[in-house]
Amino acid sequence: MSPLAAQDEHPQPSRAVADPGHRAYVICTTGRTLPGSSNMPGLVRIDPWKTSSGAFVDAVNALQQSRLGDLAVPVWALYDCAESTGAVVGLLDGAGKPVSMLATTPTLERGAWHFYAVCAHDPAVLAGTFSVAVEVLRPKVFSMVLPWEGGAFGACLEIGAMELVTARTPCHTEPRSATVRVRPGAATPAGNRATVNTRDAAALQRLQEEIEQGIAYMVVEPPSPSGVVVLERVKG
Amino acid sequence: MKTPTRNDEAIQLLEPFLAADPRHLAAFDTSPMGHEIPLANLIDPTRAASSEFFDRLGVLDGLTFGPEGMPMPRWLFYEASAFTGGIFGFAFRVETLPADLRVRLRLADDATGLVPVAMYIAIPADPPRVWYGHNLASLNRVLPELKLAGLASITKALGLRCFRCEEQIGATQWDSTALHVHTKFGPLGLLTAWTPAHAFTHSLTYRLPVAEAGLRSAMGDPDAPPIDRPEPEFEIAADDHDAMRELQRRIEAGERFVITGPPRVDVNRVQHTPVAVMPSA
Repeated sequence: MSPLAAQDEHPQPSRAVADPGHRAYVICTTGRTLPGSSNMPGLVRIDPWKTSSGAFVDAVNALQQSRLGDLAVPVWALYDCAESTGAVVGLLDGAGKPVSMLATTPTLERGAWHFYAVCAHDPAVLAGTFSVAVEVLRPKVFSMVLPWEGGAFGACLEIGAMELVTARTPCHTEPRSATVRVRPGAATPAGNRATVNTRDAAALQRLQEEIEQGIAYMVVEPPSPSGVVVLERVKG
Repeated sequence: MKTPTRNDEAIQLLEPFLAADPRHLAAFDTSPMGHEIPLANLIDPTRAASSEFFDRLGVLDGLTFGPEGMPMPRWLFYEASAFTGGIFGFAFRVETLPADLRVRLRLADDATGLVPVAMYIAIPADPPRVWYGHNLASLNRVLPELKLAGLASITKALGLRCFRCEEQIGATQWDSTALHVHTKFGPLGLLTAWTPAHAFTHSLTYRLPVAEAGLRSAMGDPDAPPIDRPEPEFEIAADDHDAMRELQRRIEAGERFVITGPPRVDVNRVQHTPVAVMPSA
């Protein structure tokens, strides 16, 4: 069983949305239920199935293409896999222009969402963008693929406990990425402290093999500037 | 018992597979319509050993969609496919393929295992009942010598059953030949007719209520019950963007429409799709 599975079924977000000067937006179909939207007065909703969404969605795509480069979501895929299926959330500046985004897709596990394509013109608003996603969707758990270098470990760890699903991810474009599951508001279960140098390919491979054998690890601290990540080895 | 298909000769040589997060496996039907997926063909995307199979999914996608400009980046196979939803398909064993085909499929001399030749990818939209299908690929046209006629429809039908999908949403273009496949499953409710949020504005978004008759009919089961289809009232020509915009305006005004059946292709090779008006909800 996942070390996160036994915890609170209905956690609250660990922090409120606090980005003065920014309003939140969500691109999703009119029929999509957003559990936390009533707590967000001023939330701008854009329906991708309406013609009027075109200009705004273009601006969001321009944002992600400028920030994510080769890892930007193709326009058709953002429409298929997030806008029509889940939601794209983000922040607007005072002029109503999108300044950040995060794509989300529901998974087969009740209340579980996958987050991806997170980006912003200013990295300072990334934490607020995560907060909007957690506040609007109220996920029981969310998953992400985070590159060991430059991934948003810190922002995610502020939200809740982080389980490591993969340490190396060769089925992904970036094999030196981790797949994580974050349970908002949850504390990391106690275990045995371990450290791994994420720049050591052999060490990451060993960690991946342990995970595949059923050993569970939680990420406790984001990778340091030298690439060392602090983990907690917990009962799987 | 396996539900018969329009190409049982090919199906007998192929093996079904499913790539999905093992956390979700209980949600799938791993023997859709009697076509049992061997345990060894349940591909776990979080395992390093699955990497080679994902390479081959990329080759299948590239051969199918590359020329149309919509190939999928590798990470999408992981994040917005297998890890969140499922990839169902059919594969040959490398050993059964002749040497020239192994080269065309970019297989190493010592390659082993499954070589996917068709796949249907869907992700949950309103789990577990509603799914969004975003990729249907088959090598039938690229490698006709494999005699895979009808495999796209068979793969989509069994994929929908494997995912236990009750309602499928998808997008395609008015000029796409894929409409011939999707309409085999039954009338398609139109959610959009002109779609500026999509990469191709002349896309339509459809909703398919998944029914036994549609699945069996699309697979080519000779005993499939008939599909109830409304009479078409007008057509949308694939080059008539004004008609698409007008239809979208009417949808946004609350009217409802369905694509009643497969398009016809005129002497100028323009596709015309039949549409009927439905009572408003």
